[in-house]
Amino acid sequence: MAVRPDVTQIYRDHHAFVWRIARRLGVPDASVDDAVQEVFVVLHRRRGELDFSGPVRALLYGITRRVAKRARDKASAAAQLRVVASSTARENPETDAATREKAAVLQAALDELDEGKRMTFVLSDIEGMTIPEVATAMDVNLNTSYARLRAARQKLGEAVARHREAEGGEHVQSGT
Amino acid sequence: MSKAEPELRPLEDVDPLLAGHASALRDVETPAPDRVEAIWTAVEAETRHQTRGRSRLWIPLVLAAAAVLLGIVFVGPSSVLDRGETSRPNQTPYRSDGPATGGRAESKQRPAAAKPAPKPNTLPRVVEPDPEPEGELATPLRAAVPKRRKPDTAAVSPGPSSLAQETSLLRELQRAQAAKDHRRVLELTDAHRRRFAKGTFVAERSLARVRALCALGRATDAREAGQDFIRKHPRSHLVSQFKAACPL
Repeated sequence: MAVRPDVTQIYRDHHAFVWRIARRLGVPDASVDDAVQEVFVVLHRRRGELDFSGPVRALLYGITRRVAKRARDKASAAAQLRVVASSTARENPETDAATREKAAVLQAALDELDEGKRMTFVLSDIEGMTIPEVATAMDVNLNTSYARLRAARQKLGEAVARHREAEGGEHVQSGT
Repeated sequence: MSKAEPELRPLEDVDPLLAGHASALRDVETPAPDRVEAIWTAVEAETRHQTRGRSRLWIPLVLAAAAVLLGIVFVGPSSVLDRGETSRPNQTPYRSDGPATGGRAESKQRPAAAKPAPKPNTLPRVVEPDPEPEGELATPLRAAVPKRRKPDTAAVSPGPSSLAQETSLLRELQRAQAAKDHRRVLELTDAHRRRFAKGTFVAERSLARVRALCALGRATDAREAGQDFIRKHPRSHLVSQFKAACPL
């Protein structure tokens, strides 16, 4: 209620986070930019009433989740939860084929998880949020977050290992 | 609520293979600079539009405040009137209705109230529910007009022009990277640091620098720069890329 947030600075610091989260939440590729825009417009419009005392990314996650839901509702069911490898590759031309393949494998595995586990893993292990932040963002208690993260890691780990075996065992490490 | 919080080990320690995939997904999903800029420009345009819309909401408020102000202006006269100095008793038909006509009557009165002295009993009632002093009422009146142009956009406006410049510099940097012109990369990262010390793409700039240093054989410098970034931004989504940028 007290501090007026600097939306410009929040955008600078967290636009990429919102952009990735929107994708992870199933916003179709074609609508991701619009979704990010909407998140920051909402943030700007409601900055007087939102509670900025907690982690900003938790707040952004909450807004993004709602925006993503609307975007998903608009899009066809088939477009949901798909991140097409070719289009993601376009986002960062520096990434090589091996990196893109790894990303695609993990993406496919993530798609198999329920949203709770998927987003817990994404927020914690991809975005680097702490578990208390994740719990705040997702509005669940700490133990639930820990349990989800453990389960997600296990399932994803199995899927990635399975893929590696199917590909013929020893994969070339791409320097990452 | 929780018992001892379960210990959470970093993914790299628990499952390095999965950690590598997580890092790859992060690398792949980075919005292109021109999109970052385009989105911000759209946000700004939208919020500016909304600000105008919101400022339009002030119009009825301003009108209401103006009316109340006028009422307040007449509070003095009304108290005089209460003393029996009614100068224009024929002003309104309900003037003599007394307290019962109160607020409603007043609002109908507004246009007429500007010229003559209003009826005695109604005005004090109007002022009663608005405890704000004149000064406060005057503020939105004055502020509302200029605020249309300036108020909220100011909070967002530092964005586009500098972001556009930063984006264009970053594009040049990426071109130099693609051409493997590492010296040029270093020049451009220096330029970026001078011009956009706290810019949007600080992490990208630092990473480009580390990679360029490494490519030029300055591995120690590269690692130091990488460590320095990680120390300052331990939770950046690019940490794993920094770690991998100049392997031993």
